[in-house]
Amino acid sequence: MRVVVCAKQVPDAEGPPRLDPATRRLDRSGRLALDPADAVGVETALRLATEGDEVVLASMSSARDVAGLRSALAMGAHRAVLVSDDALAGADSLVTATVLAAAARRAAPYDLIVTGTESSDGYTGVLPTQLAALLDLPAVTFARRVELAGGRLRAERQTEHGTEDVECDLPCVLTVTSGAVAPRYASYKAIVGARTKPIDVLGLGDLGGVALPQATHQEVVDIATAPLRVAGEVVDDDGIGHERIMELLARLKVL
Amino acid sequence: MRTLVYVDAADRAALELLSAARSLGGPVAVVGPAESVRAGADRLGRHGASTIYAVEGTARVVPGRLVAEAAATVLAAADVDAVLFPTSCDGRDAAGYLSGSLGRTIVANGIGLEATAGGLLVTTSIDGGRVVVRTALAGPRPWLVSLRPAAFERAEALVPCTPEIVSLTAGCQTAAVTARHEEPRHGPALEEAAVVVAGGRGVGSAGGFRQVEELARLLSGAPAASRAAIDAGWAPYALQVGQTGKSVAPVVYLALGLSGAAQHVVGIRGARHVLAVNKDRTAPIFELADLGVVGDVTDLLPRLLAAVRARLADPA
Repeated sequence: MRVVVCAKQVPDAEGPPRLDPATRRLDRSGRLALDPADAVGVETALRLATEGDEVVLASMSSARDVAGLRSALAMGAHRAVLVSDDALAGADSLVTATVLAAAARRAAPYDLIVTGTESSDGYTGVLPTQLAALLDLPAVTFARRVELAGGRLRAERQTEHGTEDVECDLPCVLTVTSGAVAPRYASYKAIVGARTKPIDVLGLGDLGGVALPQATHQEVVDIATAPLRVAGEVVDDDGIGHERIMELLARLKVL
Repeated sequence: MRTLVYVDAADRAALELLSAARSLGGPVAVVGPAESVRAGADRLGRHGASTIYAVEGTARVVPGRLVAEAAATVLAAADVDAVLFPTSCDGRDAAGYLSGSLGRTIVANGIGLEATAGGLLVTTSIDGGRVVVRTALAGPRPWLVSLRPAAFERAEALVPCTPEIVSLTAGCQTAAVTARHEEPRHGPALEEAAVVVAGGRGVGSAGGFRQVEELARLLSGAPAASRAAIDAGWAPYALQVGQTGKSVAPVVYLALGLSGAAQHVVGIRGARHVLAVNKDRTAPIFELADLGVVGDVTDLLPRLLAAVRARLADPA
């Protein structure tokens, strides 16, 4: 079995994502790390894979720093396909999905494509099924407990009201919620070993005629800070914090 | 402008999206799983849907891909300018499938929407609501947008419609649903509650989360949970507030032991007053709170519960 896991490299920074006011794009300078949402995807793939199976990472990012991919390889993924091209700067999710679909096709045949439900920095949450559409695959999304049985995937899927048990033929796209499994820590030996695992860096030209959607047609026109709230008072508990809360609840007529 | 709205059912999100669609002017049609939209046809009509596309064969499957395929046939046959999606699980599935199959970009997580000369202007927020971004969507129709819950007010149309119901089928392969498990809810629905008591990692344990639920009950409110509390197994998915999960707009939002990460806070934009308790003085939630208490929730919550019980027993 071959599992393709989409692995995004995101800024390895404390603090919220910033929009660069000059380019009006998410600021992705600085060190890169594996998106925590995708660490869950990698872990899921590793648990589904058995002896002889292959877990391949597919990623689209700058190639200047591959630390994020190395950490996924250290977890146990076998190799990575990284598409990197200046023309892809500021790509929207559809362009990204188109590129990842091309990367996945290079790894074909595959049995399963795994992603997180949304990235930690952009969180549009539409890429996985854009990818599924481009690869003409069904999708099992928002999955928690996942297992494979006889060429079918079974999972518990999150809904607005609870959960549902779902089943799907392979190949399919699988998206996993961030709590699905706890990603493993790589051993020192695995980290060292990951340094020599292959990362195939490709430009757009190497993907062989991938048709990017014509000009993105979405453009940021305005960025403004909007302090919705002014921070109020912050007090230390010191044994009386609950009384301050009671006071405010009473004033707000909740109590 | 002619707008098509994806709906899971005639639910709160659907009615909000219908308001958003009507604000663009022009006729509004709805597309969704047949059983749900037929059951809610009257309500959808009262909120402005003049046509309902009912996608058959969706009762026992994960519906997003099927509804997207059916929507694509509507778009091929009729002149539609905009397609709106909720950010629900099935809504996001459908949005991605339609975007991918049409090759049209989508602007996600909109909280505001306007028609412009050649397209749409979509407002979104990042960084927990501190930064507001406006994105112009142009180019070939249709323009695709997903909208956050509680960003638009539900309102019945001045002139209610008796919607025409059109049956559609789609043939693509999708996942089968073998069982559904609804998580039982007591008390007001999260989206409607005037008081929401939310627990995060700081509540410390499943027992701690029981106390969060108890406090919500005593205040006649609804309990909620951050992703961390759900991942820890202390609360079911249905209580999740945030990017994935529900958006709430209570009078009071009590944030206990949750840090205020952007992906959670995006779900509480509508809260009028925020009260927060967290061990960490630098937790971002304090920037949003009317009152912040720096302290250990596992220590404070039992005291708060005792005080609330005492007050309710003897209001004097």
